[in-house]
Amino acid sequence: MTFPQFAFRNVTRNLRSYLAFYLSSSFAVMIFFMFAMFIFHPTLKTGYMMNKKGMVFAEWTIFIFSILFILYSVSAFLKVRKKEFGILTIQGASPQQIRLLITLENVFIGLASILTGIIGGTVLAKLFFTAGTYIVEMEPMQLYFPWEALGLTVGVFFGLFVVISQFTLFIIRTEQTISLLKGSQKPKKEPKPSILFSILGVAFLGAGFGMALVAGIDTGSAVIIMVCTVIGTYLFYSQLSIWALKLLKRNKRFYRKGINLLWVSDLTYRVRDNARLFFIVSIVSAVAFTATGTLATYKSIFSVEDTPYEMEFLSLSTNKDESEQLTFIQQQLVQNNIDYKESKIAMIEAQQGPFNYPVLVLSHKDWIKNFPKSKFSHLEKGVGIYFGETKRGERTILPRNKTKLQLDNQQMPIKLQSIEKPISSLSDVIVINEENFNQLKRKAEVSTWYGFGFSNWKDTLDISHKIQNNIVGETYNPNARYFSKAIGYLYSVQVPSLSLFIGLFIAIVFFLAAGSFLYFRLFTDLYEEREKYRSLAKIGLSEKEMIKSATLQTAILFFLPFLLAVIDTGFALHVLQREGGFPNVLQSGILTILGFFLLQLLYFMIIRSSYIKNLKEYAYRQ
Amino acid sequence: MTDVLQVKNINKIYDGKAPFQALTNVSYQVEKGEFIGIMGPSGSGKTTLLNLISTIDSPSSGEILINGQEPHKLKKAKLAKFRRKELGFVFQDFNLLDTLTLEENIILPLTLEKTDSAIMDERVQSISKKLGIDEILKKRTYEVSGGQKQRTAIARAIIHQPSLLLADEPTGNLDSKSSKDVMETMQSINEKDQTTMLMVTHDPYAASYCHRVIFIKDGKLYNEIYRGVNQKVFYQQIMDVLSMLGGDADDLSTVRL
Repeated sequence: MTFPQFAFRNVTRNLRSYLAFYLSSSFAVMIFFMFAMFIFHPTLKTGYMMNKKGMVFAEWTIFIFSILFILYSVSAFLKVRKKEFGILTIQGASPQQIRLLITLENVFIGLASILTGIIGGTVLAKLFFTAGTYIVEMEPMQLYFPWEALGLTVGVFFGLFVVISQFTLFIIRTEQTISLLKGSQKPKKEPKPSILFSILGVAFLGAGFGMALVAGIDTGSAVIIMVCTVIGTYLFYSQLSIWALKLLKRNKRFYRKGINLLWVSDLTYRVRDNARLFFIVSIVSAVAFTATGTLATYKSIFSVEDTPYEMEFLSLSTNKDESEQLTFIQQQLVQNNIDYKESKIAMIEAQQGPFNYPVLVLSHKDWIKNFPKSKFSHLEKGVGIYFGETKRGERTILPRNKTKLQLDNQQMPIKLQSIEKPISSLSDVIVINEENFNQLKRKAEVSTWYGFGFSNWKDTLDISHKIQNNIVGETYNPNARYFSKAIGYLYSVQVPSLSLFIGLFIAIVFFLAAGSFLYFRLFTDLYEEREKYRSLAKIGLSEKEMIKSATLQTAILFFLPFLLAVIDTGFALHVLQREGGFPNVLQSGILTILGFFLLQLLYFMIIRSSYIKNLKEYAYRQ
Repeated sequence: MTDVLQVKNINKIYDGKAPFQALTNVSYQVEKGEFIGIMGPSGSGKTTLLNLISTIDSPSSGEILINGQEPHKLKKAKLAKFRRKELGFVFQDFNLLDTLTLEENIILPLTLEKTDSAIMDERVQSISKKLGIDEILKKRTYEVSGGQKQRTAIARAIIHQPSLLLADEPTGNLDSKSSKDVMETMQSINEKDQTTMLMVTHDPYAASYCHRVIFIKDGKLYNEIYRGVNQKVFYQQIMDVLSMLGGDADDLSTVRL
C-alpha cells in the first residue's frame, strides 16, 4: 500500500463520515460555478449588463463565504478524526506525513466535489436560465460552454482545498499526542463571556443601526454601517448569547423544569460553534433578503408604454441638421433591411400653465391621416383630445378635462372631449380642430415630428443607439429629440428584469448556502446527539420529550439567525428607502421576507423530521 | 417481606437466520432491601437479563414484575415514566452528560418530573454528602475522576428514590481504589435507605459486597450463594463457584483482596 493509496482508501472506505464534508463542498463549488457562468455569459457581455462590478463583487462574496464554510467544515471534520491522527502519530508518522495525508485526502475530496459541483451547477443553471428568463419575460438565455467559468472555478477551488489543508494542521500540531488519542471525547470547557467584547458588541450594533436610522448616506458611511453591523452581529452571537443563556440558567425555576435543563445547557455547551454558524447564516441570509427586496421594488417602478410608432424623431424649428439627421435614420433602417412606414407631421410645442408639462399640438386632419383607429371623426372648435398619462406620480393631471394652451402671450382654452392613452413616447400630445391649429400656427414656430413604424423592433437596439448618438449625442440636444422603443424597452423592462433576475439568483443561491450550513452542522453533531439521547432514554426520557427537546434545539438553529437577518435587512431596506429612492421598498421587503420565511419553515420541517427519525431509531430501538 | 422484583420463567430468543436462545426458563425473586449480584462468563446472558429487567428489551415469554407492575405491558410513553419513577440505573461507562455540571446531572431525573426546585436542592445536598461528592457539585464531568463520576451516577440513580437500582458492571471502568469507594457507597446506601439493588458484574470483589450472588451459565440459572458474616469468606466462595463455572480465565479479574 503506497501512501496515496492509503489516503485514497481512507476516503473511500469512510465514505459515510466524509459524506457531509463532500456534499457541502460540492455545494459551495456549485454556487460559485453557476455564478461564474452567469458573469461570463455572452448575452450579458453585449451591453445588457449594467452592473457587472456588482456581479463580480457578489461572486467574490460567495468565494469568501465558501472559504469560511469549507474551513469550518474541515475543522469540524478533523476534530472527529483526532483519534485517528493520534494512532498514526504513535505509529511513528511525522507531522509532514500527516500533513501530506490530509492534503491528499482534501485533494481527492476536492476533485470529487469540484466535479460534482460543476455537473450540478450546469444542470441547475440550465433550469434556472430557462425558468428565470420565463419569469422575467426575457428572451431565453443560451446555455453555452463556459470555458472561463470552468477554469476559474476549478483553479480557485483546487487552490482553496490545498491551502486549507495546510491551515488545518495547526489544529493538530499544537496538541499533545495523548489529547489526540483521547480525541473528540474530550469535552469543551464552558465559555466565559468577556465584558469588553460584550460592550463592544452592543456598541457596534447600536452604531450600525443608529447610523442606518439617521445618518446621511454616502459610500463611506454605508461601508461603516456594514462593517459595524457585521462585527456587531458576530459579537452578538459570541458574547451576548452567553449572557442570555447565563440569565436563563440563573432562573432556577425555569432552568430546572422538564427539558429546559437539556436544551439550555446544550446551547451553552455549543455556543462557540454556534456563534460562527449563526454569524455566517445571518449575514448570508441578510444579503439574500436585501437583494430580493430591493430588486423587487426596482422592477415594479417601471412600465413600458405602447405607442404606435417604433421610433420617433422630433425636430424643433431651430434645428439646422434636420435633413441630415433624417437621412441618417432612413439610411440606418434601409441598411438593416427594415421595411418601415414613415409619417411626417407638423406639430407645435405649447405650454399648459405652470403645473403641467408642455404638450405637442397637432391638427385633427394630420391625426386622422397618420394614426390609425380614430374613433373621433369630427372635432368641434375649442375642443381637443388629449393623449397622455392621466396620472403623474401622485398627481392627476388635467382633472377637470380642461386645459389652456399658451404660446408666448397668446392663450387658447381647450375643452377636452377625451383623455386617451399616449400616442407619442416623446411627449404628451393634444389634437385640436383645424381652425384652432392654424390660429396657433400663425404665431408659433412649427416643429416637425417623424414617426417610423416597423415590426421586429426588439432587434433594432444597435441602430437605435447609433441614431441616438447621431441626433442627441452624449447628453442632450436642445433642437432635436429622439425615441426608440428598443432603447426604452432596454431601460424600462430588460435592465430591471435582469436585475431582478440576478437578485433572485443571488438570493436563492445565498439562501441555499445558508440552508446547507445548517444541514452540515446538524448532521455533524448527529452521532454525539444520538449517544446523548440514548443514555437519556435509559434513564427515562420519553420519546415525546426527546422530540420536544430536539425540535426546540433545531428550531433555534434555524430561526435565531433568521430573526437577526430580518432585523439587519430591515435596517438595510430602511436606508435604501430613505436615501436610495426606492419608495416601496419596505412593502416588497416584507413580502420577500415572508416568502423566505415560508421556504425556511418548509426546509425546517423536512430536516427536523429526518433528524428526529434518525435519533428515534437509534435511541429508542429495542 | 414483599418481593420488589419477580422474574418468572423468562425465555429470550433472538430471531434471525440462526435463532439463538439467550435465556432459558430463568426465575428468581428479589426482596425489598436485598442487594443481589449476577455473575457469569461472557455470553452467559447476564446483560440480556439486565436489559429485560431495565425494560429496554422485552422477553420472548415469561413475565417480569417490578413492585407488582408489569412494565413490558405498558405503552411507550408510560414506560418512560415508569422507568424514571421505579428504576435507577448505574452504567459501566457512567452515561453522564458532558454538557451538565455534576449537580445538574444528578437532578436530571427530577427536572424531567418537574419537581420543585427547592426539593431538588434539598435532596442533592443530602445525597451528595452521603456519597462524598458535595465538594465537587459545580464541576463538570471532565474535571473529576472515574470513581467520582460513578458516585455521581449513583446519586442520579437514587435521587428519585426508585424501587429498584440496576447496576451494569459499575466497577468495570474503575481502578481498585475507586472500585472499593463505589462498592462501599452502594453498600451504605443499601443499608441506610433499604434500596433494593441488582448488580451485574464480572468482578468477584465487587460481588462480595452483595447479600446473594446468582450465577448464570449458557442462559440458565446455575447456582446461587448467600453471604455469611465474613466478606472475605464470601469472596472465596464466589471464586470457587467461578472456577467451577469455567469460562475464560480472562473473564475473571485479578484478585484484589
